[in-house]
This record gives sequence, C-alpha cells and structure tokens, in this order.
Amino acid sequence: MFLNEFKYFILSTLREKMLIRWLILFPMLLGTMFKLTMSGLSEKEFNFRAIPTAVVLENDDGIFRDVIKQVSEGDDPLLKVTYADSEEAEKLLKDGEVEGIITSGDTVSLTVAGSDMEETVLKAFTDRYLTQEKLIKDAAEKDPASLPALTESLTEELDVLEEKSVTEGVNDRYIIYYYNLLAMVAVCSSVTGLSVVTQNEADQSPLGARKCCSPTPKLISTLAVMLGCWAVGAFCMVTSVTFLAFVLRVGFGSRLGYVYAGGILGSIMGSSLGFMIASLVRGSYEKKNAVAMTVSLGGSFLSGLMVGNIKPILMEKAPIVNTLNPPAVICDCFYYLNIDSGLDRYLGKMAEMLAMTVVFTMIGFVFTRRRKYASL
Amino acid sequence: MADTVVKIESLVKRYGELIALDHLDLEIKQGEVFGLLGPNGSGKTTTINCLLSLLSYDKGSIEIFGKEMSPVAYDIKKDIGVIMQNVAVYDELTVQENIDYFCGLYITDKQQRAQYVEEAIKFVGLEDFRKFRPKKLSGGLLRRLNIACGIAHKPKLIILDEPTVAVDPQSRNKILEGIEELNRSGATIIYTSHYMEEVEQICTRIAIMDKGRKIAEGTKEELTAMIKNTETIFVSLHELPDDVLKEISALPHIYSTDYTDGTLTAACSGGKHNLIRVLEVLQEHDLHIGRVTTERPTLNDVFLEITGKALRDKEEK
Repeated sequence: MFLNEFKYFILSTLREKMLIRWLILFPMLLGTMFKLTMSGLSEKEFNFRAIPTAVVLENDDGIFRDVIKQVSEGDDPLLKVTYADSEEAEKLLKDGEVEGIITSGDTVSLTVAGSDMEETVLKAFTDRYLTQEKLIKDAAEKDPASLPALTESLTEELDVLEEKSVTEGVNDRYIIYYYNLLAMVAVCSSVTGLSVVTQNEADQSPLGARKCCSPTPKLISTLAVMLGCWAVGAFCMVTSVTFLAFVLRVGFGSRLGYVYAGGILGSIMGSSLGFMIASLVRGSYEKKNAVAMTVSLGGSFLSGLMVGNIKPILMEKAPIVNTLNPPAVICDCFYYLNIDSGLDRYLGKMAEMLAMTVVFTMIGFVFTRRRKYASL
Repeated sequence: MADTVVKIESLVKRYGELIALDHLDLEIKQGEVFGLLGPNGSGKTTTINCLLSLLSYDKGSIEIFGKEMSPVAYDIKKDIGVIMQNVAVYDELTVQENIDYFCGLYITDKQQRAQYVEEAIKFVGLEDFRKFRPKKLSGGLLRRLNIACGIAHKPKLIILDEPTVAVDPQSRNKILEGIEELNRSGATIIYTSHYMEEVEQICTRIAIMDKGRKIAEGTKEELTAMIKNTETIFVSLHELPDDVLKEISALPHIYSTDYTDGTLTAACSGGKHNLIRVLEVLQEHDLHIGRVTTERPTLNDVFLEITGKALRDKEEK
C-alpha cells in the first residue's frame, strides 16, 4: 500500500506541467540567463585589470612620477600608463585609447570621458593620492624605503578584481547568485508539500475523500505522499544543480557534493514547510497555495534573494527573522559554503535545516490527524 | 441479522441550524440493489458520507457487515467499493494507472491486482482508452473510469453516489447494465440518484428521501401501492360534452377527471376494468374515440403525493 501510494504520487507529480515549469525549467532558464550576464561581467573585469591612462607631467614631481611608476608596473598593475602632453592625452581620450588623463601640475587632477567602473577607479585613485599626498611626500623625504608600502595602500582596495584567497571557498563572487537560485528552488518545493494534505484529506478534494474510503491507513498514505514530496523536491534540486554544474559549468569547485547535499536538504525542508502550511491553513487548495507562495517568496525577499541589502538590515535590526526564516537558512548554508574554508558553519546550517524539517513535518502530522469531518 | 449488510439507526446530522439527516433509519440486505431517491439536497450524499465515516454525525449508529463503522474500520472498508458523485482520479495518470492505483489501495498482491485491473477495464469497456489520460476522455468515459476505480477490487458492497450525472444516454445504459451485472455477481449495491427512471429500472428496493428524512421505503410496487392513484387513463376525443364527463366521473374507482386540449384524463384508485367502463360510456354516446393509453403510477407520483412537489427529474431531463 505504501509503495503503491509512493510510486503513483511520484509518477503523477513528475507529470505535472506546473511543477516541471517552476521547479526544473525555470531554474534552468534563470541559471542560463545568469551565466550569459555574468560571463559578460567577467570579461569586462578582465579588461579592467590595467586601466589605460594618459599621464601628463606639467611639472617635475618626482614623487608622483614614482607613484605612477609603481602602480603601472609589476605582475598586476592598476594602470597602463601612456605619458603624453595635454594635447596628445586629450586626443587619446577622445579616441578611446585611454580611460582618463591624470595631470600633475600645481595639483593632481583627473579628466575622464565617462562614468564606468574604470573611471570610478581612476577617480578613487587620484582622490586617495590627493588625500595622502603630504604623507607620501614626507615619507619620501624622511623614509624612502616606506614609499612602496604607501603606494601599495593607494591601490589596495581599488583593485576589485584582485581576489585575495583568504579561504578555501570557491571565491567566485558571482556564484552566490547561483546559490540564491538554488535556495529559491528549495523554498518553492513548498508547493509540492501542499499535496500531502490536499490529496489525503477528505474535505480537500474528491481524491482525498475517495482515498479516505479505502482501507489504506491515513498515516501510511500521508507518510508515502510526504516521502514522495521529498523525493520529487530532491529530484528537482539534483536536476538544477547538475544543470548548473555540468551544462552551464558553474564553478562549484571541489564542493559540488556539498552543494547537492545542501540543496537536497533545503528542498526537503521546503516540502515540509508546504506540508505544515497546508495542514495549518484551513480552506481550499488555492488558499493554501497562496499562503505557501507568500511565505516562500516573502521569506526569499527577506533573505535577500531578490534585494541584496535586506538581509544585512534585518541582521542588524531583527536577527531573529534571519534565524527563523527558512530561505535565509538555506541561503546562509550556501553562503558559508562559498566563503568559509572549513565546513563548521555550513554543517551548522545543515543541522538547522534538519531541525526545521523535523518541526515542520511534526506540526503537519499533528494537524492532519483528523479522521472525520464536520462537512465536506 | 446475518444477511443485513448495512444498518443505519436514528442517524442525525446537523450543519449548524440545518438538519441534513433527521433520525434516518435504513436497513439494506445482502444482494439488494438499494436505491436512495430524492431531489438534490434531500440528504442522499450526506447519508453516504456518514455511512463511509467521512462525515461526523450528531446522533445514531451505523453498522456495516454487522460491525460498527468507523474511520479506522479497515476490515470493513476493504470490502466496500465507492463511486463518488465527483470523479476522483489522478489527471496525470492514464486510465490503466488510475485503476491500478485505486485497486492497489485494497489489493497488495501484484499478480492478482493486474488481473483485477484488466477485468475492470473490460467491464467498463475502456480497452481502447487504457493509455489515455482522464482529460482526454469524454464525460461518459470518465464516469466509467470512475466506476472502474471503485469496483476493480471486487467489493461485496458497492456504493454509487449519482454515478450518471452529466452522462450521455449510451454511457448511462452501459453504467446501469454494469451495475445490474455487478449485483448478479453477488455484490450488494447502494445507488443514489435523483433520476427516477434509473432507480425504477435497477433497484430492488427504494427509499425516498426529502429534507433529510426517509418519507417512504419499499419495492417499486409497494411504493406505488402506497398512494391513491393506481392507474391514469388518457383518451383522445374531438369533443366531450359536460354531461358525459360527469357520467365518467361518477363511475366507481374514478376519483378525478379532466378534459383539456382534446384529451380526457381519468385517474383511478383501485378496481378492475376501469378502462373498459370508461370506453363503454363514451361509445354509448357515439363519441369518436382516438388514441387510448393508460399509465401506471411512477415514483414521481409517489413523491408528488407524499410531499406535494415533483422530483426534479422531469425538469432536468
């Protein structure tokens, strides 16, 4: 009886077009769009490594010349410098050969033609030089050996491309978008969890009423459908992760196994959340579905899946929301996998997800124990 | 009693102020095709839902196969087949898969189940549609699938709640023939409907319900014998003078007469040879007689006489 229920639930659910659309095709499509968009960004950043810049020396400022020399040499230079007079420099800028002109006269000034990332970096560099000019000149006079370190500090935080490998995480700052996508797939599994109630309760559907007339105990059919939901959620998650990792070649690195594990547990938690919601919310399937979608998408919003700075705000103002918000827990799990060299915090979040799954499932079972109905 | 399959005693079900079932008593014997007849809202489906322990009730008791029925009475449920008013199948499963699924709720043995599923498909005539999904089936075929899902496990008691609603005549006949066949093979049937002709056609005993109460019970003959009318005579005439109409009205056993639109209608209560006596009077006055018919009372007449209103059957059909 259990296997019969389990088998046909999975078969019927996997044939549901809505499920295929939202839990399999939608993540694939969104992942592909991410890939296309982020490939462009990476390419742009690669070109950004050494910013073509014209330098005009109107006076003989040796210290400025030294600073420019230091930031334009080495393995990973900030600037690709072309020395020119004002006229030539303006022509280079006009022709697009350089992104900006740094002029050293009475003071150091910057001329740019646009407002892209490169221009912003040049502006930040010149601003910082002007701020620290006196300090640099003093150091050059009193302690010339400290000049390289000071120059380094001018560029240290400007070189946004130069990722410092402080952990053993994947260290691709765009991979977090894929993790967010997987977190969304996981919470959307709550929709499948609704079936546990709507297909087993006599007052929810003709199918539920019909099943309640059979000699299959309600506990068995509920359990079978619950496990079926978990299996379907896990299948959708595995499909999504596999597509991202092997078709789009998203670099999950050596942590792919952990991504699968986190995703599967996340989707199981999502299904259990749906089960709990369906058991608590009285009324039609549409009403339950609306509540499940509100909770899932609302939780996703609060966890920063849609607007990035919501989560830090909540962390400061109401940290309990992040602790209790299932999508936030899934996101954190992936986030820690991304940035931590160890697995402690990742495993901590996995344990949290497991605990939430148990609580959601238990609440679901408690509220679906009814055997007779006052009305159908 | 050993041959009592269903026994309902003093069943009361309330929805707030509304009394859906008012001290309902029913006893259904083994081998019967028991009809529950009544207009929409009379309490038929509520009775069935209480019988199946889906609905809670306020008072009374229900026994099936001599045991008290409850939601966990799995040993009773395994011998019951249910065909709900609303079609209850998986839209994403094929005809064969649906029947196999529902049969699997009762039968665990795979080989036996496969055989039962095959028999059910043949029984309802869906051999050519076994790979179809429900959405591809017509209303009639869908009802047949619903029936196959309910009877595939060969239950001893089959409950059919309005199984022919919105079904074409061909499928309706097929369904009714199937029910009679199931009964012949030993199953006890409970059949609810507001279609009088169906109940008259297949039911061996009938309970007529109205406003949650059983207002009459018996065989069709017993029910029609309960009312005054035993026969209604219709005679087509070009003309019928008033004095002749009065003469006919005065005949023994004739309790009501009417002449409208060229047709004499005479309602009789008991007696024999009423038609002959009416025709003799008409011949005595040299009246030209056209078409002559008689009608036995129907369940609708029974319902009409007891409640003062008609079953909705005729309006709907």
